Amino acid sequence: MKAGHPLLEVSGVTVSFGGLVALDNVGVHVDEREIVALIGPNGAGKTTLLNVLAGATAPNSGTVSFRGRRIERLPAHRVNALGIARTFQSVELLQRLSVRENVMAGGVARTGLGLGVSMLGFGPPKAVEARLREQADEFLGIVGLSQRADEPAAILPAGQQRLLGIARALATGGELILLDEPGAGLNDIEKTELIDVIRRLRDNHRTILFVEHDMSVVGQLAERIVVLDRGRVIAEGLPDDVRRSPEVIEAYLGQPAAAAGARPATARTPADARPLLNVANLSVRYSGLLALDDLSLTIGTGEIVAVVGANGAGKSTLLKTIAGFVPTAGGTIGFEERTLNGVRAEEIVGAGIGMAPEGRELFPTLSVMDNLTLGNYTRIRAAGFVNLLFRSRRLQQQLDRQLQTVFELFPVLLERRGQSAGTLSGGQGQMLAIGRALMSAPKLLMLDEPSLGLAPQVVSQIMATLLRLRDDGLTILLVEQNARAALEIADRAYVLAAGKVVASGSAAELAGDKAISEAYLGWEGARDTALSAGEPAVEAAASPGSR
Amino acid sequence: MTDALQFLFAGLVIGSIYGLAGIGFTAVYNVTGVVNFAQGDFAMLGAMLAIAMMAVGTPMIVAIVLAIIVVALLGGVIERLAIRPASQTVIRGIIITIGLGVLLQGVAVVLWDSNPKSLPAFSGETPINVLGATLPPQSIWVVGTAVVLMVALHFFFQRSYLGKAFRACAVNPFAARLVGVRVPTMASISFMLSGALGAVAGIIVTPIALMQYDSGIGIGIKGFIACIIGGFGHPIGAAIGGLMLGVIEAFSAGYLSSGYKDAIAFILLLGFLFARPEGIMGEMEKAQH
Amino acid sequence: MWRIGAFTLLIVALWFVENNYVLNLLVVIALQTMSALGLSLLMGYTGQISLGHAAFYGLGAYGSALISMRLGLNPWLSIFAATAIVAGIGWSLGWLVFRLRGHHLAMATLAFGVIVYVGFVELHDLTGGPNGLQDVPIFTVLGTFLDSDRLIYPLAWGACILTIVLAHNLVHSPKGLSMRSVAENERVAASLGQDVSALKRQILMLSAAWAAFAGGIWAHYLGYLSPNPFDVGFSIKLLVMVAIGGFANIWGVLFGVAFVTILGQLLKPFGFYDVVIYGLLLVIVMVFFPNGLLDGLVTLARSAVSGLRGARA
Repeated sequence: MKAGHPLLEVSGVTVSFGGLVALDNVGVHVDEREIVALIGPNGAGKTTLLNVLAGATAPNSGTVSFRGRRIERLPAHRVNALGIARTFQSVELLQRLSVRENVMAGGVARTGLGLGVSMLGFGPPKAVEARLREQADEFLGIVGLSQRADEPAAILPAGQQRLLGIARALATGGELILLDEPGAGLNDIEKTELIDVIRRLRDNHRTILFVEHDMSVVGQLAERIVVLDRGRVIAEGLPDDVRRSPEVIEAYLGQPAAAAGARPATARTPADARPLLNVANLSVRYSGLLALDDLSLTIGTGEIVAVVGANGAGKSTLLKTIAGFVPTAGGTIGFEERTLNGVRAEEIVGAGIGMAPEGRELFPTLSVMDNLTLGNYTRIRAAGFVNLLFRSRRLQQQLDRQLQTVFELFPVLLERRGQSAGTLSGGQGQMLAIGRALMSAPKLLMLDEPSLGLAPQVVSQIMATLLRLRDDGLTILLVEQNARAALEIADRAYVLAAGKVVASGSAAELAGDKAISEAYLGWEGARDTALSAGEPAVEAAASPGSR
Repeated sequence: MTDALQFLFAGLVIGSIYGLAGIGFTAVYNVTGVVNFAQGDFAMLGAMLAIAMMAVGTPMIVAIVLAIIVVALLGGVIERLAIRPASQTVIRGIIITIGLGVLLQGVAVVLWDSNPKSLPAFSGETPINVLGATLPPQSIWVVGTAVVLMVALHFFFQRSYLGKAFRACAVNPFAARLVGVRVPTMASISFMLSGALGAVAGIIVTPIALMQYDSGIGIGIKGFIACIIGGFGHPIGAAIGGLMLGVIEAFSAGYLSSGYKDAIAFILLLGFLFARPEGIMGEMEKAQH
Repeated sequence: MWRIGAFTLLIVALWFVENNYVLNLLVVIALQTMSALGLSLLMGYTGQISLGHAAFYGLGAYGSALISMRLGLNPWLSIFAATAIVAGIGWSLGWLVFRLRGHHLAMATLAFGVIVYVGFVELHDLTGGPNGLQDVPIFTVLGTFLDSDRLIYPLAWGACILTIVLAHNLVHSPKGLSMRSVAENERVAASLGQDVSALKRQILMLSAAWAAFAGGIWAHYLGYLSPNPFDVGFSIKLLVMVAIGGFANIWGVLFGVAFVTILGQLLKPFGFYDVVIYGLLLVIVMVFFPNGLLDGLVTLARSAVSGLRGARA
């Protein structure tokens, strides 16, 4: 089964954008006719690596060789001509073309038809078109879309869109196929089809390297797995070995934050029996996929509730929907006495909900101080438009009070208040995002993946701060990929997978329940690992998180 | 030597107008990411309205203020009715603002006529003598007003809360919504602001340069060039770019021929677009849309 | 394709019309359609923008006139020579400007248009300045001068219909698929192996060539040239024609050209009202008929018909 001939060799690849290192000295190889999976937690750099391989991004250093030829500096179309084809995470079909035409568009570049000849209307262009059509039908047959060949690409459902993307990539004559999250958003039937198709490709002499979050797909397909975390390769090898590797499991489940004043053994009973936030049977469609499926959860006043789950489970979509950025397709969102369905994002802050979004989303060219004061915008605006130009004394006092609260919580922000937000470090930026959300004196604070890209000590700090806030009466909804750290401070938690709640209960229960980590990671073998901290000998020096 | 000084002053005067037009572009671009190719026509309209009102006996100050207000409101209306529904892609946005500009020109011709018109100078006609060069007193008004407005706008965008909210819209519209800023409203306000700025520019320069229905095109395009030279998004950049452009134009008109000055302005534009598209001061913040 | 055949028959039939005014109008439409079609390929099918297209038209006109006058070549030869040169200019311009995007690209093309226009006006020795060129050689066929609308008609429409055929073939060829991919998503097109920059340059070159050829016909038909028709206003007019036509619709372009030209004639007695109408048209079309006026009217007609049917049922 192992061909042994290296098709692709990557060595020492480093990519940095500004100050952010996306890939750090990455080396992988792919042999002919292998199926290799590239996995890793959110932000690990998987798509960046694909972009480097496909010629869409040039690495700052390192080499990429395809069939012995150096390709890292070549533009995307040249790389493709040499035999590497790729799909995109968001598929990006050519909407105005039909299904067949999308595939034909993949084959055009290879035909080398010139401009002048193309205007003839007979002869070569017709012959080429016929050939392209034939080939397109062949590829559509391989992926099982033949019966929809004439339909407009725009109406395909998600699963078939991905298959079309694959057919299109095949049409370019690629020998090495790079797939970016082919399984995302597919239902079980579609996933089975997808797995069949990919196996068929390999049987047809193709080599596959795919990025994937869905472990069931990885489990069924991958012959070898490469694991990225924070831009570095932390594990590589046979699936069974990789899955049991402590570094890998830790990368996914997160490190314990060892937060001071960790949560009590049982959940606190909330001060008020009525939930502050009541999400009931929520369904949400996002880019055509069913991102949330009949989901229900509640948060009581004064609780910290964590929502954990693997990537693509719908955690971020949940927060964005509550925050008013994504419309609902069913179900209700109740906050205090109000229903939030249909309330626009700009009004949510006024209702008493603040959010520190994924990726911080600061105003990078404005100062720290400006970022914070803008967090108070709704209050100031509510007092009358004129206050945007000249604040009344009362408003100014209110603003100053909020600022003081935030500066007490995060003294580093006071120090750096004149600095541009874009120059802050990751941890400081996260503090600013939280501070900004706090400026509106919310009743509910929502955080989307605050630990993303942060070193463990910083994560500790942040978690400790959240505990303080809770003690001061704030209710917190914490979405986290780092389940261990989140469960340390949460009262209760929900585990999400594929848009549904698959487990819920007090954080202590969940942390101790080993079956949960299987649900979380989606693969067997993780069964032996608990979500709770206290696993032996993980804190070796080789731990990738120690920065 | 006095020739050179004369050209310099003339250049500074017309450069101030370009700078003001450039700032009008900036106000809109900073909030919406749209480049309003009708910016110059706001200037033309402002002047024409003031002239028309004075022609029926309105006192000058009132006419000027009213004209500015009307054009500002028009800017808001345009944003609401034409820009918002149709600017999904950059190219569509460009074409629709071009269309609006043409429409405004046509309206001007229909309402008034195609003859060049003038406003009386604000403080008389006696030329002032500076180091051997003569200046019409209106030039002081032009440069002075431009400087005051540029400084005011600089402070507005850099220091005032509303100005920062504006910039927030351009820099990160998602986060702006998150803190409660209504981006569409800000877009309307920015168009109103740019309308007002344009009207002021048109009114103050008409006593010197006259104004007719198609004068707006030149002002607008040169204002755009000023922004490219100075750096899109910076009021100060637009000012510097405008002054540089005005002076270079004046010198080339004086020493070569006035026909070449347009070509030179555009060659300068191409130079910056290829060599330093972010302009002298660097683009302030990329409008992320 | 049969539509092109039917259209050709229509054009041939119209040739026999007695009215010289109509014939003149038709000749103008033919030449402007050639320029607009090229612009449509560039904007509608390849997703770029050009605000300086009049420059190519003018360069073709002046180029062919000067080559025939200075080098003593027959206009039939000089027009091809000029077209080739302008095609080269278009291709080179592509190298420069296509690294720009959005409003930067728009302004760069505008700059090109203005610089060329100023060149026409200021380079007196070459172009005759604002007064232009006189005594440009006229086309001859077997000893007869093609100096009337009726005589130039076959050449103008022959070239135009040829351009329509070529555009149609191009759009329906695999290359057309390439163009449409680039227009929709350059990143995806590149990932499919398409050399996006090269394609943009090719299309710009082609559209420049067609505009130049039309300009050449114009020059040797009229017998004299002045810079006025080649200003920014004409570039905007071409833009309006393409926008009304729906950007990516060959028959739409023809409709747009005819619409604008005829409208222009109707509005002539009203003086400057045509400027208002052009602007209003552009705004209304962009807001309400993003796929062009023709498409919009057809859609309206269709829904009116089905509305009637529904009401009756």
